Amino acid sequence: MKIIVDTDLCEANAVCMGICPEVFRVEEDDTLTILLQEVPENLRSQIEQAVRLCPRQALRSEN
Amino acid sequence: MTEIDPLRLIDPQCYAEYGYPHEAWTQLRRETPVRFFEPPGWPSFWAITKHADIVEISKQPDVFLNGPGMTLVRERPDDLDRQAQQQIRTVINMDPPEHRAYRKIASAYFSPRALQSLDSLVSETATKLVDGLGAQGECDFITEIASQHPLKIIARILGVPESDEPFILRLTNELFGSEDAEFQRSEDRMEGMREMFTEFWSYFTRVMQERRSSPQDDLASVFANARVEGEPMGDLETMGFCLIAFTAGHETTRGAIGGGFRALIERPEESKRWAREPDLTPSAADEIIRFVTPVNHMVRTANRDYELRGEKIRQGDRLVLFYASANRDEEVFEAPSELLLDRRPNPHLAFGVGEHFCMGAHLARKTSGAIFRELTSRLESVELAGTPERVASNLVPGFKHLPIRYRFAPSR
Ligand code: HEM
Ligand code: SF4
Repeated sequence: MKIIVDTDLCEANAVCMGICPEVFRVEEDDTLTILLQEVPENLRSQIEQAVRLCPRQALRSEN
Repeated sequence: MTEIDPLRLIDPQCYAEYGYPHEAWTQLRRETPVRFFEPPGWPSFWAITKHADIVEISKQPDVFLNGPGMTLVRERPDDLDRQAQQQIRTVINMDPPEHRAYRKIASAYFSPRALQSLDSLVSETATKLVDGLGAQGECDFITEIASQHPLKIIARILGVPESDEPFILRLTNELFGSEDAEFQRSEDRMEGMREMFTEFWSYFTRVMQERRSSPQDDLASVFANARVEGEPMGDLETMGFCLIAFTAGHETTRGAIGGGFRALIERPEESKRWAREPDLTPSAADEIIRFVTPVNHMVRTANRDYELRGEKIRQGDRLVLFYASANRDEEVFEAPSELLLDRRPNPHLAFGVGEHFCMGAHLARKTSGAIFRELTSRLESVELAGTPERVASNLVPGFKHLPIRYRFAPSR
């Protein structure tokens, strides 16, 4: 699974980082870094939750 | 199966007397999570009690609108609350596409990075407040600490000098706790509200003028000099922003701090653990906010028919999103009624979700985290010194008085 961020929509509120810090990191300059290019299976449900709960609908996942 | 009395879910007096209706919500989540009520004297509404349903609704801001009203208010002949809600426009009662342009004005100021510059203000304010209590004694935790800390922070970022804080505290109490007799200034609600708006208006008009002539690096200057589609933001909208920073930011954070401290008084082991492990602060503060859920509900209005869990919601129907119920949803949280300082992940909805996700979420976590770290690290003993009292409100039903007897170590 891969994760795609729409940087125009993201407002760096770090909701995703709160749900899955293994994968999401909000940087000092308010940009979002995806730490893992390929997301391991055991994080799948957390990722799905992050995508669902991102307040700005800025995240998408692709298989 | 007992029948649910809808007044238990919405009547401000019930909140004052019994607190949050967790028993009723547990039953609703289990039996009828999407449930229509028509209580006498109140507008009819759908009670939404499941986490998944609140997310589904909140993610469709073009179907479920904030504009027609954000909270459930009693039907009144004078329609006062609705008038008051519509006088000043704020991001919270705007809908897309307009909402986005206004939200953008302030969202950058509230990002984690931007707020770093407030770290020392937030922790120094916390230290000073706890110092002010002295080594031991009795106090009302709400008026001395829970109310003061967020107010001082918000006042400072909005450019209010320390000497004006008591005035601002009175205004915010009257505006938000307006169902509660203790905070009403005149018998005649209408008159009281009008007076309050006038005072607020003239005060912040002056602050805005000052920030236009000499902008500074603060939120007041962001509001004063904001432009929407190239034009300076209108007066009503500018005032709306000033108002929402206080109303949305003060009593809510006070609720988190007051409710959280009460929970820690009842759980001395957790308090000691926090003292031993200060690195818990971010997750612990967030867990306190889930556990307390200071903002009990928000309302959405359907602008078309919609089917949810097989129930037919009609255009124009009101939906009450009970965040405090969603945050105890057994399908999402393990041991939902327990306070687990290291709970992770913690996908709670205390700050809402979607389009209107709380802009002040980081500030609120930071403010409450700092005060709890200060309190727990210095606390030698604490107990209740009287009966805690809640605000009579179905919106932010936090404690208004929490008498405590305490003993603190000196600051490090
Ligand atoms: C623990 C404290 C707080 C809680 C529980 C809380 C809760 C909430 C909730 C539930 C909403 C969503 C409303 C909706 O979905 O319609 C919201 C929105 C908002 N909050 Fe907070 N809040 C807190 C602190 C703050 C602070 C400190 C500020 C700013 C100083 C703030 C500013 C706002 C603003 C501006 C909005 C409207 C955002 C929009 O409509 O786009 N809040 N808050
Ligand atoms: S939750 Fe969404 S808006 Fe927030 S930082 Fe993550 S991607 Fe950005």
